[in-house]
Amino acid sequence: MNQHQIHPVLGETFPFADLKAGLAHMKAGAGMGKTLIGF
Amino acid sequence: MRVFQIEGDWGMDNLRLSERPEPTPGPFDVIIAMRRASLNSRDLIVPERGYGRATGELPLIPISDGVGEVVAVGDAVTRVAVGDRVCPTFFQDWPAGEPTAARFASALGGPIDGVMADLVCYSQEGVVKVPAYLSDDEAATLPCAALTAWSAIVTHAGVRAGDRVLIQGTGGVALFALAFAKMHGAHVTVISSSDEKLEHVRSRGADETINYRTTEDWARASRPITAAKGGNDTIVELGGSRASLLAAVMTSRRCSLR
Repeated sequence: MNQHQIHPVLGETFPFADLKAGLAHMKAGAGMGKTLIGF
Repeated sequence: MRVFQIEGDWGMDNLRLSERPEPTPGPFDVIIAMRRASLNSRDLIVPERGYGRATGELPLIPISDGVGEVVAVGDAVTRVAVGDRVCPTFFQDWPAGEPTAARFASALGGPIDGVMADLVCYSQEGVVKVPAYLSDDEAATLPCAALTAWSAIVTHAGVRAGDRVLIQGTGGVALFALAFAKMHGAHVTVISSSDEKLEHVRSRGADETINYRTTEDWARASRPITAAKGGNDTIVELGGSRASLLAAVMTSRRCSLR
């Protein structure tokens, strides 16, 4: 990945305390890219 | 410290914000202050004990993927140092080689405690340093989804320039599979139920796209794309249903199924 500078596709970010909202967002599958959790 | 854990009983309702004492490292352990986590479909399955006994024991900290900074190391640690940015590996006890029951049983976020904690403690063998070019957000996505795609495209399929590759969907594994297949010079077809998502994957290098909602028999629709070779060299099957698997097999040039 380093050699080809591959960049992952990113989706929404949710705060730590909102993990369950993040899981629901991923389950709904409406967006694209990885769902992230901040700390 | 803050953790999320499944406690009391299984089920998404029992996934709660909670507290645990801060971990102290053994001689070969590292302590990581987590910065970002990233979600995978398996994180929906674990709270419901969807992997049976292999899901682990309660209380269980969920979520497999993330990135953080090493803040403490045991006396015998040599692989990483305080200040290094690392990802815990999805399988803590599977550095290489064939799958075994013990290796499968070392998955993070069930059965082993995952990354939804301010501080996590893993063996130095279970962490990997992150390339500097990746942001924290980007690095957090790699351990499960990217490795699954790499394992499929590179390790098992051995995809090469000119190969025809078909990828089901536009989820985490699918998008990494697209990137890795293009990196190896393959011709890639992506199927999805959304024209908007298909347009997006074209901008990321997909050569052909099929909307499987408007073109229900996508296996047949893919034939002209692969006519010169008689089918796809590799299909990344992510649908997860028998029908989806069967349709995937039907588009393979390696089998004949009528």
